[in-house]
Amino acid sequence: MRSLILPSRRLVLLGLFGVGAVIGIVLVSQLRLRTVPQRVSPLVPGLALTQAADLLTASVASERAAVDQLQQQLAAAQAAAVGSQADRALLRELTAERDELGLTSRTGRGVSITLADSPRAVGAFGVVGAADIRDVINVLWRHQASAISVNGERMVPTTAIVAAADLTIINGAKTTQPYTIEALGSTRELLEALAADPLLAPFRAKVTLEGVRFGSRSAELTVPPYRGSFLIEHARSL
Amino acid sequence: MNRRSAGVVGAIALAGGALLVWQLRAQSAALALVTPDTSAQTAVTVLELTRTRDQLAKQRADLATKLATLAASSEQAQATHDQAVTAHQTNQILLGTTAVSGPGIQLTFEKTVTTANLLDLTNALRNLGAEAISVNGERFVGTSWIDERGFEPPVSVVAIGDQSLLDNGVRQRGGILDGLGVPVAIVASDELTMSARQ
Repeated sequence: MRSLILPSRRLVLLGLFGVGAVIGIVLVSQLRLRTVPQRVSPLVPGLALTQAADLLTASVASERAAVDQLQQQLAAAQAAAVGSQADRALLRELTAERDELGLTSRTGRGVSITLADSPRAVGAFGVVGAADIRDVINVLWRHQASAISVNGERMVPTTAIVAAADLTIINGAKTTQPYTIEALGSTRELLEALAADPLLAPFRAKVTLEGVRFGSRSAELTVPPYRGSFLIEHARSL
Repeated sequence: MNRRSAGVVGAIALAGGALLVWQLRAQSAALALVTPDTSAQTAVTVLELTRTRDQLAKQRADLATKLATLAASSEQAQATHDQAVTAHQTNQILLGTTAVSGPGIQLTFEKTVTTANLLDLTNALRNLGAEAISVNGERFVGTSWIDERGFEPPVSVVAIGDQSLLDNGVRQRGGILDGLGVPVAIVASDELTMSARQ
């Protein structure tokens, strides 16, 4: 009996010793990783860039809020100071132009579209790219959408959709998947276009072959305004 | 093995597992930071955010100046009129309802370009601060789209804006034109014109 128990206890001790050794190795390598001098660590540039991106994100948000507030103050001051009847008409025209440019929110029927990475996304495979978002928006404009936003960012004449790492920058704001695209317009026409427009054939293939997630439904929507202003410095009207 | 020993072994195994996960996560986060692709893309993010912040700072300064002018002016009605006229001109340029001129670049493609090529290019030009864009003579505004008909050569794309920024931006190695892979002639000019939207 005793001869059967002893090897078992030895095995347990040996096992414990093995586990202890592994923990020791992991602990030492973890601590060494944390104490690598910053001046020689290859992590420093990456960390610095990430921190810079975080600081800039906060700075952009603060600038946008300031621009937003100034625009409202200026509009109120102009409305209060307007003199002639002709200027009142001009201000009314400006209000209509601001609406057309996306500087005011719009409400109505439309479609809400969701794009998300495939659950089996690896590298670029199964990932929703900036080009996919641009393709969908191109098709929505083609089918007479009257206002579009992506993750709350209004599409305006200066909007660029830029891929950067695993996120996307729209109107200078960072955003990431899942992407919710909201478009006002004829729900029937927009939904049909999403299902059949040939310009979206490559995207539909990604949905089928790579498992990219895509959903669309009709809804009552409010598309938010663009939070910023437009500054023309080089172009002159003729 | 008695219950106490089993408990000790279980606790040690749990601690070992937790440490292993911690280690693997730390290594993966560290690798992500030093991977050239990730670093380059984070650098792009920083560049984009810097550009946006600078643009917003300019817009804020412009709005603050207008507000101050209005507040200081003894002729507030006249100041409002002047600002409204300027704003109207800006809006017309952005909406494409007026012909425009200004410095910029003209790109001419001598081979067929696809819808995706043109969407990528117009997106890149907007990102470089283009204030007005035309494709084969048609204004490309906020609500414009490009269909699948294909564009036979020569295809001309004109962008008005900061000439140096546009020129250097499209010529950048690894930039938009390398991505398109279509031969293109680029001419920077101090005075380009484009007609109003049809």
